[in-house]
Amino acid sequence: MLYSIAMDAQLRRGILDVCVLAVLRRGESYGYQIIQDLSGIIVISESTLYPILKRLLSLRFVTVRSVEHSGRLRKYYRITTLGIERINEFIIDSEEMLMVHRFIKKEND
Amino acid sequence: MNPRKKYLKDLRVELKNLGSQDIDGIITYVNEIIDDQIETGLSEEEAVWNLPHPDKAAREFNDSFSNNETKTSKKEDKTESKKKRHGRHPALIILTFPLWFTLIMLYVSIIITFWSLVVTVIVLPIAFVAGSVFTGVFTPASFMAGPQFGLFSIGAIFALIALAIFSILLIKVMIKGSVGVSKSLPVLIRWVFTTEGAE
Repeated sequence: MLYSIAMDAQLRRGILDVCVLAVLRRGESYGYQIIQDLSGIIVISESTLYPILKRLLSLRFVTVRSVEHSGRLRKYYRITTLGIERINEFIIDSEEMLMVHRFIKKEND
Repeated sequence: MNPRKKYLKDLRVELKNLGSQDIDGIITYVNEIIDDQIETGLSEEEAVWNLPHPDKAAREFNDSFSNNETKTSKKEDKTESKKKRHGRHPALIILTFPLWFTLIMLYVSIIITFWSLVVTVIVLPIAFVAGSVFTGVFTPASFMAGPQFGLFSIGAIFALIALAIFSILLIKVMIKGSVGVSKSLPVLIRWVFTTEGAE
């Protein structure tokens, strides 16, 4: 299911951060590959991913290293323990959000 | 101009409102994306074609930076980037008191020494100017003693004026250095009592 761009910008930003972390949880990856991995789940453009990666780096949720690849340098991103903790926090928050969502939906019916 | 160079050039122009550090980072990143697409079998033209138009891409980059979380302004390019800091553990500060206190006191005494030198050197141009005036007053008398003495007096006047100018320039440099050293004290104190890290 593709999540639309119409969701609240701040909410979307928070979700995108965790989505990128979740991709990196599987293993070290690079920009283009992260976009490809997320393309089936959430809409993310090249220009959106870059500041996400910068933010995750500044928060020390990920680290980066440059690796020589086919005669050029490619940046590989790796999740840190702080990043993994962030994912776990998101999962807990999401479960609470789901409970609130069910409550609101029930009250609205 | 090949399509990649043209695209990156146009993108750089559209990103002109960001700091140079951010622009360089974005250009490097887009370059990498193009190379990765080429590796999947696309041509350079196709890889560039897949990217949004430079002005649209720049708008998206700018919008993404608009919350200022990661944007470095042109002004911040010239200064040290400000990282989030929080206080060190009080126990650590207490335990290391002999070390940081001595360090700060040493730094303060260096600052005082710098400024004392400045004050001392300020006297120099005054002395040189006074000397040149005094010599100028007695130059006619020197000529009476002999032309060589008069010429020597005139030479001395010019030399004293030159020394006065040189000492004023020296004072300017010393003041600049003393101000720089003094400004570093708060940075040192901040380093002693705080540390970087995610909040």
